[in-house]
Amino acid sequence: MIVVPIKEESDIVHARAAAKDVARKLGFGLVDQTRISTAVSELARNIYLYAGEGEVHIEEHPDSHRGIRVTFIDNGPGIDDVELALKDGWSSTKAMGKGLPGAKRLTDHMEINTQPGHGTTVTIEKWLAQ
Amino acid sequence: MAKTKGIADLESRIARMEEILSVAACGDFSVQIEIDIEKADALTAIETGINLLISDMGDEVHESTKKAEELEEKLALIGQQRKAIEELSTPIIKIWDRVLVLPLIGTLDTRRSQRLTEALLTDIATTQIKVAILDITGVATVDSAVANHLMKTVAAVQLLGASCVITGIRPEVAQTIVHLGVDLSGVETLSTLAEGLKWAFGRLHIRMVEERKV
Repeated sequence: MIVVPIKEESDIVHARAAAKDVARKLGFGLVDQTRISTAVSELARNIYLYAGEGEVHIEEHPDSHRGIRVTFIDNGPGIDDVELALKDGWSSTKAMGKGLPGAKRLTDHMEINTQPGHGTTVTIEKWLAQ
Repeated sequence: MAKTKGIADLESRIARMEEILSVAACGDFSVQIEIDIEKADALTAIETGINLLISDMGDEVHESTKKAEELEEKLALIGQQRKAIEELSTPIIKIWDRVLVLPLIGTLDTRRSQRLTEALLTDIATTQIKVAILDITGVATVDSAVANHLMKTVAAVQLLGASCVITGIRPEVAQTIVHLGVDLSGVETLSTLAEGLKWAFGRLHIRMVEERKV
């Protein structure tokens, strides 16, 4: 597993480059590599923007699906309303509001664990076509 | 304390040890306890030990200061290189009369896109530029933040009365932008830089004619 700490804006680039690299090694095609790195970019940016700092864990999917799993962990303010945050165009700041819904569309599976005041953990998975 | 017998000047030597240790504690490791080898006694071993400890600590501190300095030099170098790369990677090329091309390479973060927009707008305002072509062939990842930066740049260029087109969107980037749900329909986009140049000529009513062989 690769752990990329997110502290500065440039760490977003490290995270997505690492994810793209892992995806390529796992056999994903260029389009999927780009989807993965873009989703990682969105979610790592969320850490940077809303929590200040956190970590991105990149690993091969542990079971038979075969694919990639990326987890985004922070101890930030958490998300008050996950359903609302997943709505296109909604943003608590003046951003575009494409981060969470976009990342969800770019991947095969997304899970959000959050508690207001206790941080957020987002897990995304992209599966290789069998 | 029976062994204290036979130790000369016990009190003054202990006082000296205290003094030396407190000097060392303040960070001065050049000090040493004066030892008279001729008159070595039970306390001399401790004094020698203290002297060794202080000189070893002095060496260690010197070593780590040197390493810290080296590290800082390297960090400064990285900062300089980063600046150099930033400047290198956002050239603004006047490719034709009234036409600018910005070949974007690498990543577009907030800082870079601000610099870029600023430089571009200054160029447009001070010269007679009518068309700006933003070529993103060298940008591997376009996430919503990058798309947002690009759209803002385009909007600002248009406010100055120039036209702007984004070229070089790779097929995989195009697919990702669509999935992401970013709407670039308000922005002129073309597949290649060559197309962009043709578009610019069209805007400026320039016609390119192939010369016929006679």
